[in-house]
Amino acid sequence: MKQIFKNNPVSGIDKLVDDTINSMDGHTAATPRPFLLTRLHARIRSNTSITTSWDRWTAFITRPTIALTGLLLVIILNVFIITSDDQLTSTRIVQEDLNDDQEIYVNTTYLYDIENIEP
Amino acid sequence: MNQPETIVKLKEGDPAVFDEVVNKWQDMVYNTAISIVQNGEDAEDITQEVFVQLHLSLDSIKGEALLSTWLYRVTINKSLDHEKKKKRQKRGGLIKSLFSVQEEPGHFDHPGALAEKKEKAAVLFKALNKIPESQRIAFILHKIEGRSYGEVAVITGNSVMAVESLLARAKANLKKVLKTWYETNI
Repeated sequence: MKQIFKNNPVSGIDKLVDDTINSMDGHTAATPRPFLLTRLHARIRSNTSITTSWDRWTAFITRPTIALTGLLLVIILNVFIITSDDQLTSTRIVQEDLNDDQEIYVNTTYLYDIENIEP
Repeated sequence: MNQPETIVKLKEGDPAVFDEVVNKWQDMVYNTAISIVQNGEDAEDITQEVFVQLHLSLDSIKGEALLSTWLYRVTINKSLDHEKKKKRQKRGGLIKSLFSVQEEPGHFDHPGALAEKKEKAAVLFKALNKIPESQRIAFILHKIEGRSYGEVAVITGNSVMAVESLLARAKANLKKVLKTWYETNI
C-alpha cells in the first residue's frame, strides 16, 4: 500500500477510496446462528402466553420497579401513620390533663366568699 | 408459491407457511440489519423481532403488498430504532463508562466480506456511519444488498430519480469521508 503512495500519492488515495467503496462487491451473505426458527417460536410463545387481563396485571405489578415502588409507598405510609398517631396521642393527653385540672380546682368564689369579705 | 399467495396462506394461519417464510427470508433480514446496526447479536435480535411482528400483524398486511418489501421496511425501521436506542444509552452511560473497559468504537467486520477485502470493508462501514441516514440506507440496499434502483425506490417510498440522487450523494460523501480518513491514517 505504501508503495502506491510513493509513486503517486493522489491517485493512490483515490484508488484506495474507490476500492473501499466497492469492498463489499462479491461478498457472501452473512447467516444468523443455527436454530433461529426454534428460538423464534420460543419468543412468539412467550409473547403470546400473556393474553388475559389478569396475566397482564400480574406481569405489570411484579415488575421490579413497580414492586419496589409499591413497597416503598407502603413503608412511607406506615411511617406517616405512626408519626401522626404519636402527635395525636400527645395532644389528646395534654387536653385530658387540662380537663382533669379544671375538675380538681373547684370554683370557691361563690356564697362563702361573698358573705365573708375581708375588710 | 408467489408472494401474494404466501400472504394469503399466512393469514389463514398455516404454521408450515410461516416457517417456510422465515427460512426463506431470514438471511435477507439478517443481512440488512447487520449492515445497519453493525453487530451480529443485535442483528439477530432484530431478525427475531421482525418475524415476531410479521406473526402479530398478519391482518394489517395488504394482500397485494410484496412480502419482501414489507420485511425490508420493518427491518430498516427496527434497525434504525435500535441504533437510536443504543445512542441514547451511550449518552446516558457516561458514569458507567468511567468504571468499565471501553470497546473500540465503530469497528465492525462484516462476516460476509471477502478475506482480501475485510480491512477495506471495515473502513467502509466506519465511513457509512458518517453520512446521512437516508443516503446510508440507499447505499446499503443498492450496493450491499444488491437491490435495483426500482426496488430501493419501492422499499424506501421514494421515486427512482430520488434514489439515484441519494446514491450519487452517498458516494460523493463517502469519498470525502474516506479521503480524509486515509489522509490522516496512512
